[in-house]
Amino acid sequence: MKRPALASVLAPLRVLLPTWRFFDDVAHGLRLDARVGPDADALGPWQTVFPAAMPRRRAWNVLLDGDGNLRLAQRALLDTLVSDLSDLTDADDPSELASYAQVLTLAREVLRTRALPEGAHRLQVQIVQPQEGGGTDALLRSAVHPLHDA
Amino acid sequence: MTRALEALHHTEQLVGLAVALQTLELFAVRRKLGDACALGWPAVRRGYVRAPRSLVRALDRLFAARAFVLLLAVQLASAIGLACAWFPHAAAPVLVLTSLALSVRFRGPYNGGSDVMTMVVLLGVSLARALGDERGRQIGLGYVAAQLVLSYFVAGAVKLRRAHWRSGEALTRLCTAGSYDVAPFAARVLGMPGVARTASWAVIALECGFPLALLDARACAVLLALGAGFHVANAYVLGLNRFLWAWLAAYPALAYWTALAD
Repeated sequence: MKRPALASVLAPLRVLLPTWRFFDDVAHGLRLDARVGPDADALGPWQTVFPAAMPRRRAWNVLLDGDGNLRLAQRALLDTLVSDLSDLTDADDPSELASYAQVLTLAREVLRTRALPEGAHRLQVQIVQPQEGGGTDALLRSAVHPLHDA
Repeated sequence: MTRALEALHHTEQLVGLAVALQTLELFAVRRKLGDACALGWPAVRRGYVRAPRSLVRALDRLFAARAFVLLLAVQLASAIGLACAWFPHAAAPVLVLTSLALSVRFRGPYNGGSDVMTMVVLLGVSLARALGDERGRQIGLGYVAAQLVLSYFVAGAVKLRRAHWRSGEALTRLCTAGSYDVAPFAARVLGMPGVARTASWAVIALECGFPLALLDARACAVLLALGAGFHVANAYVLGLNRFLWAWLAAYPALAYWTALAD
Protein backbone atom coordinates (compact mmCIF):
# COMPACT_ATOMS: atom_id res chain seq x y z
CA MET A 1 0.00 0.00 0.00
CA LYS A 2 2.89 2.36 0.70
CA ARG A 3 2.80 4.56 -2.35
CA PRO A 4 5.96 6.37 -3.24
CA ALA A 5 6.07 10.11 -2.68
CA LEU A 6 6.32 10.70 -6.41
CA ALA A 7 3.02 8.93 -7.11
CA SER A 8 1.10 11.06 -4.62
CA VAL A 9 2.57 14.22 -6.11
CA LEU A 10 1.83 13.12 -9.67
CA ALA A 11 -1.80 12.02 -9.07
CA PRO A 12 -3.22 15.42 -10.14
CA LEU A 13 -1.46 15.13 -13.50
CA ARG A 14 -4.11 12.61 -14.56
CA VAL A 15 -5.85 15.64 -16.04
CA LEU A 16 -3.11 15.67 -18.70
CA LEU A 17 -3.52 12.01 -19.65
CA PRO A 18 -6.74 11.28 -21.56
CA THR A 19 -7.96 7.68 -21.50
CA TRP A 20 -11.53 8.23 -22.80
CA ARG A 21 -12.78 4.92 -21.37
CA PHE A 22 -16.18 6.23 -20.27
CA PHE A 23 -18.57 3.84 -18.53
CA ASP A 24 -16.34 0.86 -19.26
CA ASP A 25 -17.79 -1.00 -16.31
CA VAL A 26 -21.20 0.04 -15.01
CA ALA A 27 -21.78 -1.11 -11.44
CA HIS A 28 -24.50 -0.28 -8.97
CA GLY A 29 -23.81 3.04 -7.25
CA LEU A 30 -22.09 2.91 -3.88
CA ARG A 31 -23.93 4.13 -0.80
CA LEU A 32 -22.51 5.63 2.37
CA ASP A 33 -24.31 4.73 5.60
CA ALA A 34 -23.59 5.98 9.10
CA ARG A 35 -24.74 5.38 12.64
CA VAL A 36 -24.17 7.51 15.69
CA GLY A 37 -24.48 7.10 19.43
CA PRO A 38 -23.07 8.08 22.81
CA ASP A 39 -20.37 5.41 22.66
CA ALA A 40 -19.15 2.50 20.59
CA ASP A 41 -21.46 -0.01 22.32
CA ALA A 42 -24.61 2.03 21.91
CA LEU A 43 -24.76 3.13 18.30
CA GLY A 44 -28.15 3.75 16.72
CA PRO A 45 -29.52 2.33 13.46
CA TRP A 46 -27.76 2.77 10.14
CA GLN A 47 -28.92 5.74 8.09
CA THR A 48 -28.00 6.59 4.52
CA VAL A 49 -25.95 9.76 4.38
CA PHE A 50 -24.93 9.66 0.72
CA PRO A 51 -26.38 9.92 -1.85
CA ALA A 52 -29.30 11.95 -0.52
CA ALA A 53 -32.45 12.53 -2.54
CA MET A 54 -31.66 14.24 -5.83
CA PRO A 55 -32.86 17.84 -6.17
CA ARG A 56 -35.02 18.47 -9.24
CA ARG A 57 -32.93 19.27 -12.30
CA ARG A 58 -33.83 22.56 -14.01
CA ALA A 59 -33.35 23.54 -17.65
CA TRP A 60 -30.65 26.08 -16.74
CA ASN A 61 -28.63 23.29 -15.10
CA VAL A 62 -27.38 22.53 -18.63
CA LEU A 63 -25.42 25.79 -18.20
CA LEU A 64 -24.68 25.73 -14.49
CA ASP A 65 -25.06 22.91 -12.00
CA GLY A 66 -22.66 23.54 -9.16
CA ASP A 67 -24.48 21.32 -6.68
CA GLY A 68 -24.92 18.48 -9.18
CA ASN A 69 -21.23 18.45 -10.06
CA LEU A 70 -20.27 18.68 -6.38
CA ARG A 71 -22.37 15.55 -5.80
CA LEU A 72 -20.50 13.80 -8.61
CA ALA A 73 -17.17 14.80 -7.03
CA GLN A 74 -18.35 13.55 -3.62
CA ARG A 75 -19.56 10.33 -5.19
CA ALA A 76 -16.10 9.86 -6.74
CA LEU A 77 -14.66 9.90 -3.20
CA LEU A 78 -16.49 6.64 -2.44
CA ASP A 79 -15.16 5.05 -5.64
CA THR A 80 -11.63 6.22 -4.81
CA LEU A 81 -11.81 4.76 -1.31
CA VAL A 82 -13.05 1.40 -2.60
CA SER A 83 -10.26 1.39 -5.18
CA ASP A 84 -7.68 2.31 -2.51
CA LEU A 85 -8.97 -0.45 -0.22
CA SER A 86 -8.31 -3.03 -2.93
CA ASP A 87 -4.62 -2.03 -2.83
CA LEU A 88 -4.31 -2.71 0.92
CA THR A 89 -2.66 -5.70 2.48
CA ASP A 90 -3.95 -7.24 5.72
CA ALA A 91 -1.24 -5.39 7.61
CA ASP A 92 -2.37 -1.97 6.37
CA ASP A 93 -4.66 0.31 8.31
CA PRO A 94 -7.44 1.75 6.08
CA SER A 95 -7.80 4.76 8.37
CA GLU A 96 -4.40 5.97 7.14
CA LEU A 97 -5.81 6.47 3.64
CA ALA A 98 -6.55 10.03 2.56
CA SER A 99 -9.72 8.80 0.86
CA TYR A 100 -10.88 7.18 4.13
CA ALA A 101 -10.51 10.51 5.92
CA GLN A 102 -12.41 12.27 3.14
CA VAL A 103 -15.30 9.81 3.25
CA LEU A 104 -15.46 10.10 7.06
CA THR A 105 -15.50 13.88 6.67
CA LEU A 106 -18.29 13.54 4.09
CA ALA A 107 -20.38 11.62 6.62
CA ARG A 108 -19.74 14.27 9.29
CA GLU A 109 -20.57 17.01 6.78
CA VAL A 110 -23.97 15.48 5.99
CA LEU A 111 -24.76 14.59 9.61
CA ARG A 112 -24.16 18.20 10.71
CA THR A 113 -27.29 19.10 8.74
CA ARG A 114 -29.45 16.46 10.46
CA ALA A 115 -31.15 16.26 13.83
CA LEU A 116 -29.15 13.69 15.80
CA PRO A 117 -29.94 12.03 19.14
CA GLU A 118 -28.79 14.01 22.14
CA GLY A 119 -25.45 12.85 23.47
CA ALA A 120 -24.34 11.34 20.17
CA HIS A 121 -20.55 11.66 20.15
CA ARG A 122 -19.44 8.59 18.23
CA LEU A 123 -19.73 7.70 14.58
CA GLN A 124 -19.30 4.59 12.45
CA VAL A 125 -19.64 4.50 8.66
CA GLN A 126 -19.97 1.78 6.08
CA ILE A 127 -19.81 1.73 2.29
CA VAL A 128 -22.49 -0.45 0.80
CA GLN A 129 -22.69 -1.89 -2.70
CA PRO A 130 -26.29 -2.70 -3.69
CA GLN A 131 -26.54 -6.04 -5.49
CA GLU A 132 -28.54 -7.07 -8.56
CA GLY A 133 -31.10 -9.14 -6.63
CA GLY A 134 -31.82 -6.41 -4.09
CA GLY A 135 -29.32 -7.33 -1.37
CA THR A 136 -26.31 -5.32 -0.31
CA ASP A 137 -22.64 -6.00 0.23
CA ALA A 138 -20.73 -3.97 2.84
CA LEU A 139 -17.36 -3.13 1.29
CA LEU A 140 -16.07 -1.30 4.34
CA ARG A 141 -17.21 -0.96 7.91
CA SER A 142 -15.11 1.63 9.70
CA ALA A 143 -13.84 1.72 13.25
CA VAL A 144 -15.82 3.93 15.61
CA HIS A 145 -14.65 7.55 15.44
CA PRO A 146 -15.56 10.80 17.17
CA LEU A 147 -18.66 12.31 15.57
CA HIS A 148 -17.06 15.73 15.61
CA ASP A 149 -13.62 16.11 14.11
CA ALA A 150 -10.92 17.25 16.53
CA MET B 1 -8.45 36.12 -41.56
CA THR B 2 -7.26 32.61 -42.47
CA ARG B 3 -9.50 29.61 -41.90
CA ALA B 4 -7.14 28.29 -39.23
CA LEU B 5 -7.24 31.59 -37.35
CA GLU B 6 -11.02 31.67 -37.62
CA ALA B 7 -11.27 28.10 -36.27
CA LEU B 8 -8.86 29.02 -33.47
CA HIS B 9 -11.04 32.02 -32.54
CA HIS B 10 -14.16 29.84 -32.35
CA THR B 11 -12.29 27.27 -30.27
CA GLU B 12 -11.09 29.99 -27.89
CA GLN B 13 -14.59 31.43 -27.54
CA LEU B 14 -16.09 28.05 -26.71
CA VAL B 15 -13.37 26.87 -24.33
CA GLY B 16 -13.43 30.28 -22.64
CA LEU B 17 -17.18 29.83 -22.11
CA ALA B 18 -16.68 26.26 -20.83
CA VAL B 19 -14.05 27.30 -18.28
CA ALA B 20 -16.07 30.35 -17.21
CA LEU B 21 -19.09 28.11 -16.49
CA GLN B 22 -16.94 25.58 -14.62
CA THR B 23 -15.45 28.37 -12.51
CA LEU B 24 -18.84 29.90 -11.71
CA GLU B 25 -19.98 26.47 -10.51
CA LEU B 26 -17.00 26.27 -8.14
CA PHE B 27 -17.74 29.81 -6.90
CA ALA B 28 -21.33 28.76 -6.23
CA VAL B 29 -20.33 25.81 -4.03
CA ARG B 30 -17.15 27.29 -2.48
CA ARG B 31 -18.59 27.11 1.05
CA LYS B 32 -19.17 23.37 0.55
CA LEU B 33 -15.48 23.11 -0.29
CA GLY B 34 -14.53 24.71 3.04
CA ASP B 35 -12.15 23.38 5.67
CA ALA B 36 -14.71 21.16 7.44
CA CYS B 37 -15.89 19.52 4.20
CA ALA B 38 -14.89 16.30 2.45
CA LEU B 39 -13.48 18.23 -0.50
CA GLY B 40 -11.97 20.91 1.73
CA TRP B 41 -8.22 21.42 1.56
CA PRO B 42 -7.43 19.94 5.04
CA ALA B 43 -9.03 16.64 3.97
CA VAL B 44 -7.50 16.64 0.47
CA ARG B 45 -3.97 17.55 1.68
CA ARG B 46 -3.72 14.24 3.57
CA GLY B 47 -3.13 12.75 0.13
CA TYR B 48 0.11 14.72 -0.08
CA VAL B 49 1.45 13.48 3.25
CA ARG B 50 4.39 11.84 1.49
CA ALA B 51 5.16 14.88 -0.67
CA PRO B 52 8.10 17.15 0.23
CA ARG B 53 7.22 19.45 3.13
CA SER B 54 8.22 22.57 1.26
CA LEU B 55 5.76 21.65 -1.49
CA VAL B 56 2.95 21.01 0.99
CA ARG B 57 3.62 24.36 2.68
CA ALA B 58 3.41 26.09 -0.71
CA LEU B 59 0.14 24.30 -1.46
CA ASP B 60 -1.22 25.33 1.95
CA ARG B 61 -0.68 28.95 0.99
CA LEU B 62 -2.12 28.51 -2.51
CA PHE B 63 -5.26 26.73 -1.33
CA ALA B 64 -6.07 28.71 1.81
CA ALA B 65 -9.67 29.95 1.59
CA ARG B 66 -8.92 33.47 0.33
CA ALA B 67 -6.15 32.38 -2.03
CA PHE B 68 -8.48 29.75 -3.48
CA VAL B 69 -11.11 32.40 -4.25
CA LEU B 70 -8.37 34.50 -5.83
CA LEU B 71 -7.34 31.52 -7.96
CA LEU B 72 -10.94 31.14 -9.13
CA ALA B 73 -11.15 34.87 -9.86
CA VAL B 74 -7.99 34.72 -12.00
CA GLN B 75 -9.41 31.71 -13.83
CA LEU B 76 -12.75 33.41 -14.45
CA ALA B 77 -11.11 36.62 -15.70
CA SER B 78 -8.81 34.65 -18.01
CA ALA B 79 -11.71 32.55 -19.33
CA ILE B 80 -13.73 35.68 -20.12
CA GLY B 81 -10.62 37.25 -21.66
CA LEU B 82 -10.11 34.21 -23.88
CA ALA B 83 -13.77 34.05 -24.91
CA CYS B 84 -13.78 37.75 -25.79
CA ALA B 85 -10.35 37.64 -27.54
CA TRP B 86 -8.98 40.37 -25.24
CA PHE B 87 -5.64 38.71 -24.51
CA PRO B 88 -5.71 35.28 -26.20
CA HIS B 89 -1.92 34.73 -26.19
CA ALA B 90 -1.75 34.95 -22.40
CA ALA B 91 -5.20 33.69 -21.40
CA ALA B 92 -4.94 30.09 -22.59
CA PRO B 93 -1.58 29.35 -20.90
CA VAL B 94 -2.87 30.98 -17.70
CA LEU B 95 -5.92 28.70 -17.87
CA VAL B 96 -3.69 25.66 -18.33
CA LEU B 97 -1.90 26.64 -15.12
CA THR B 98 -5.06 27.40 -13.13
CA SER B 99 -6.65 24.13 -14.33
CA LEU B 100 -3.55 22.23 -13.23
CA ALA B 101 -3.68 24.03 -9.88
CA LEU B 102 -7.30 22.96 -9.42
CA SER B 103 -6.34 19.39 -10.27
CA VAL B 104 -3.70 19.57 -7.52
CA ARG B 105 -6.29 21.15 -5.18
CA PHE B 106 -8.70 18.22 -5.66
CA ARG B 107 -5.93 15.62 -6.11
CA GLY B 108 -7.13 14.77 -9.61
CA PRO B 109 -9.76 16.11 -12.00
CA TYR B 110 -12.75 17.60 -10.12
CA ASN B 111 -15.16 16.40 -12.76
CA GLY B 112 -13.37 13.56 -14.55
CA GLY B 113 -13.43 13.49 -18.35
CA SER B 114 -14.79 17.01 -18.81
CA ASP B 115 -11.74 18.45 -17.04
CA VAL B 116 -9.49 16.30 -19.22
CA MET B 117 -11.13 17.48 -22.47
CA THR B 118 -11.02 21.09 -21.28
CA MET B 119 -7.29 20.65 -20.70
CA VAL B 120 -6.85 19.09 -24.16
CA VAL B 121 -8.47 22.13 -25.79
CA LEU B 122 -6.53 24.61 -23.64
CA LEU B 123 -3.24 22.88 -24.50
CA GLY B 124 -4.09 22.88 -28.21
CA VAL B 125 -5.01 26.57 -28.17
CA SER B 126 -1.89 27.45 -26.15
CA LEU B 127 0.28 25.51 -28.61
CA ALA B 128 -1.34 27.24 -31.59
CA ARG B 129 -0.79 30.68 -30.02
CA ALA B 130 2.77 29.87 -28.95
CA LEU B 131 3.82 28.70 -32.39
CA GLY B 132 2.11 31.74 -33.85
CA ASP B 133 2.07 31.01 -37.58
CA GLU B 134 -0.44 29.17 -39.79
CA ARG B 135 1.44 25.87 -39.45
CA GLY B 136 1.42 26.25 -35.64
CA ARG B 137 -2.31 26.89 -35.63
CA GLN B 138 -2.81 23.76 -37.72
CA ILE B 139 -0.75 21.71 -35.25
CA GLY B 140 -2.64 23.03 -32.23
CA LEU B 141 -6.04 22.47 -33.84
CA GLY B 142 -4.88 19.09 -35.12
CA TYR B 143 -4.06 17.94 -31.60
CA VAL B 144 -7.54 18.95 -30.41
CA ALA B 145 -9.26 17.32 -33.41
CA ALA B 146 -7.32 14.06 -32.98
CA GLN B 147 -8.17 13.84 -29.27
CA LEU B 148 -11.83 14.61 -30.02
CA VAL B 149 -12.08 11.76 -32.54
CA LEU B 150 -10.19 9.44 -30.18
CA SER B 151 -12.47 10.36 -27.28
CA TYR B 152 -15.54 9.10 -29.12
CA PHE B 153 -13.89 6.14 -30.81
CA VAL B 154 -12.20 4.73 -27.69
CA ALA B 155 -15.39 5.18 -25.65
CA GLY B 156 -17.39 3.39 -28.37
CA ALA B 157 -14.88 0.57 -28.85
CA VAL B 158 -14.83 -0.10 -25.10
CA LYS B 159 -18.64 -0.35 -25.06
CA LEU B 160 -18.72 -2.54 -28.15
CA ARG B 161 -16.46 -5.09 -26.43
CA ARG B 162 -18.77 -5.33 -23.41
CA ALA B 163 -21.72 -7.74 -23.61
CA HIS B 164 -23.73 -5.71 -21.08
CA TRP B 165 -23.47 -2.65 -23.35
CA ARG B 166 -24.50 -4.60 -26.45
CA SER B 167 -27.55 -5.99 -24.64
CA GLY B 168 -28.60 -2.59 -23.28
CA GLU B 169 -28.25 -3.82 -19.71
CA ALA B 170 -25.42 -1.38 -18.93
CA LEU B 171 -27.50 1.63 -19.96
CA THR B 172 -30.44 0.44 -17.87
CA ARG B 173 -28.12 -0.09 -14.91
CA LEU B 174 -26.52 3.31 -15.43
CA CYS B 175 -29.93 4.93 -15.23
CA THR B 176 -31.40 2.92 -12.37
CA ALA B 177 -28.53 1.87 -10.13
CA GLY B 178 -27.98 5.15 -8.34
CA SER B 179 -24.55 5.92 -9.76
CA TYR B 180 -25.87 9.12 -11.30
CA ASP B 181 -28.67 11.55 -10.53
CA VAL B 182 -30.80 10.40 -13.44
CA ALA B 183 -33.84 12.41 -14.49
CA PRO B 184 -36.90 10.31 -13.43
CA PHE B 185 -38.53 10.35 -16.88
CA ALA B 186 -35.30 9.18 -18.54
CA ALA B 187 -34.84 6.45 -15.92
CA ARG B 188 -38.35 5.12 -16.67
CA VAL B 189 -37.85 5.14 -20.44
CA LEU B 190 -34.34 3.68 -20.41
CA GLY B 191 -35.48 1.09 -17.88
CA MET B 192 -37.39 -0.60 -20.74
CA PRO B 193 -35.11 -3.30 -22.21
CA GLY B 194 -36.02 -2.66 -25.87
CA VAL B 195 -35.46 1.09 -25.59
CA ALA B 196 -32.20 0.57 -23.67
CA ARG B 197 -30.86 -1.87 -26.30
CA THR B 198 -31.73 0.49 -29.17
CA ALA B 199 -30.25 3.48 -27.36
CA SER B 200 -27.09 1.51 -26.49
CA TRP B 201 -26.51 0.56 -30.12
CA ALA B 202 -27.19 4.14 -31.22
CA VAL B 203 -24.52 5.39 -28.79
CA ILE B 204 -22.06 2.67 -29.86
CA ALA B 205 -22.67 3.42 -33.56
CA LEU B 206 -22.24 7.16 -33.07
CA GLU B 207 -19.04 6.78 -31.05
CA CYS B 208 -17.43 4.09 -33.20
CA GLY B 209 -18.47 5.87 -36.40
CA PHE B 210 -17.09 9.23 -35.36
CA PRO B 211 -13.78 8.88 -37.30
CA LEU B 212 -15.93 9.10 -40.47
CA ALA B 213 -16.10 12.82 -39.71
CA LEU B 214 -12.52 13.09 -40.95
CA LEU B 215 -13.46 11.94 -44.44
CA ASP B 216 -16.03 14.46 -45.60
CA ALA B 217 -17.26 17.91 -44.52
CA ARG B 218 -20.94 16.92 -44.75
CA ALA B 219 -20.42 13.76 -42.73
CA CYS B 220 -18.51 15.88 -40.22
CA ALA B 221 -21.38 18.36 -39.91
CA VAL B 222 -23.89 15.53 -39.36
CA LEU B 223 -21.70 13.78 -36.77
CA LEU B 224 -21.01 17.03 -34.90
CA ALA B 225 -24.75 17.76 -34.78
CA LEU B 226 -25.45 14.24 -33.52
CA GLY B 227 -22.60 14.56 -31.02
CA ALA B 228 -23.98 17.84 -29.70
CA GLY B 229 -27.41 16.24 -29.31
CA PHE B 230 -25.82 13.31 -27.50
CA HIS B 231 -24.15 15.65 -24.99
CA VAL B 232 -27.34 17.65 -24.46
CA ALA B 233 -29.11 14.35 -23.71
CA ASN B 234 -26.31 13.37 -21.29
CA ALA B 235 -26.63 16.73 -19.56
CA TYR B 236 -30.36 16.17 -19.12
CA VAL B 237 -30.33 12.45 -18.32
CA LEU B 238 -27.13 12.11 -16.25
CA GLY B 239 -26.44 15.71 -15.21
CA LEU B 240 -23.15 15.78 -17.16
CA ASN B 241 -23.50 19.41 -18.25
CA ARG B 242 -19.76 20.11 -18.17
CA PHE B 243 -19.15 17.50 -20.85
CA LEU B 244 -21.42 19.37 -23.26
CA TRP B 245 -19.39 22.60 -23.15
CA ALA B 246 -15.98 20.92 -23.01
CA TRP B 247 -16.71 18.76 -26.06
CA LEU B 248 -18.39 21.58 -28.02
CA ALA B 249 -15.20 23.59 -27.55
CA ALA B 250 -13.28 20.97 -29.52
CA TYR B 251 -15.73 20.88 -32.47
CA PRO B 252 -14.35 23.83 -34.50
CA ALA B 253 -10.92 22.13 -34.61
CA LEU B 254 -12.38 18.99 -36.19
CA ALA B 255 -14.55 20.99 -38.61
CA TYR B 256 -11.45 22.92 -39.69
CA TRP B 257 -9.32 19.81 -40.27
CA THR B 258 -12.04 18.02 -42.20
CA ALA B 259 -12.58 21.08 -44.42
CA LEU B 260 -8.81 21.27 -44.98
CA ALA B 261 -8.63 17.66 -46.10
CA ASP B 262 -11.80 17.88 -48.21
